[in-house]
Amino acid sequence: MSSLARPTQIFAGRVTAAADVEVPLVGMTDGALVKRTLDGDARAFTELVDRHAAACLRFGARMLGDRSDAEDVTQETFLRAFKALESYDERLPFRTWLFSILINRCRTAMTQRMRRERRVVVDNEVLERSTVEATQDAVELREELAKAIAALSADQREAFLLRHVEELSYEEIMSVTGVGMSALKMRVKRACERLQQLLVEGVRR
Amino acid sequence: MTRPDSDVDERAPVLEQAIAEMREGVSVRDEWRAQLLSKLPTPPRRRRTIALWAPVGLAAAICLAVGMKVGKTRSESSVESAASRVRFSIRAPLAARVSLVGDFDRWDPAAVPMRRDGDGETWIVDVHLPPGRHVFAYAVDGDLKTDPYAARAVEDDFGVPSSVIVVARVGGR
Repeated sequence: MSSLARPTQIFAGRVTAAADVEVPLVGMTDGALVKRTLDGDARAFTELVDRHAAACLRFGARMLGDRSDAEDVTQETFLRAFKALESYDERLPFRTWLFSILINRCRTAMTQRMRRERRVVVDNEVLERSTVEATQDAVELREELAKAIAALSADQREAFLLRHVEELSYEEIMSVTGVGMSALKMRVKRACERLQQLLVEGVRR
Repeated sequence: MTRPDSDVDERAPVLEQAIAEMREGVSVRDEWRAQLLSKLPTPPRRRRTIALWAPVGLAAAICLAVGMKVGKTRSESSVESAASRVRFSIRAPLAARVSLVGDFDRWDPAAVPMRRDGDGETWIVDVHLPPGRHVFAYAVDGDLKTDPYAARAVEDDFGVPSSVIVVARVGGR
């Protein structure tokens, strides 16, 4: 970003004139919202939270297998993004940039969890929160799915979720994970194969 | 044979169903959102941009801080130099890109790129620093490395370890 000195105005309470003007934020691009945040419009960051929180929570919940942990890492992600907002490079989609932070928070959370010798658990709360009236079959599918996802290695789970659930391009995944293209594709492929195997076995049981 | 460059575009129905299921949104609790927003107005700390960099590589980091003016190689983190010109060096033979980041360059990995020294294994850069305490680290292929010869910074607020160098005034000025 070009306006490195601007955030001080937000936190010091010296809100700029731009923030005093109530302009609709809904149609703005993420990049424009970042600029408005840096110009002192706190509403702009709230809009960014509202746009991306659900996706971050979803990734966190699928990655960590726990709703509460997902909320923690997502909150940390937004707080860190807010502090580091001036370093955001518009050439990268904001969501991708946000995910680069989220991925690191998830990795840290998993490391801490391993230290506590906990295991990925089925996220019952997520299952219960479904907005769809779930049939018994659907509930069973979700349970099998959660178990299958948890059975993947962390690397495979991360690559699979970013590619097929969050639908990031391989180039974007490379930029946020630091993993090479071939290795990424292999991880996704292996994850698909493993998931498919686990799900088919689950259905047959 | 498995081809590493092949994507899985043709997915089995059970996998398609699973992916569709996983793409379903997760609700955002109002209490959680309110808590997050209440935490936002914290003082800015324009320091770290490492969130963009994913950990890569295992380049060993060995650093020397050298007082250029006095021509001495020092293995400690305190440097005395009238011009406050400081050489930072790190041994990272396998690295493709190394830069110096710190509070003096807003932790911008593009601000102070390092160059390979003559041995092809060590990356160096000379910077002018004012007297005082500076927190820094090396960005080795996007992975932050501390200086094993320097003191560790205690305020690793972003969860990233960093080092401290103290540039002293020559002659005790």
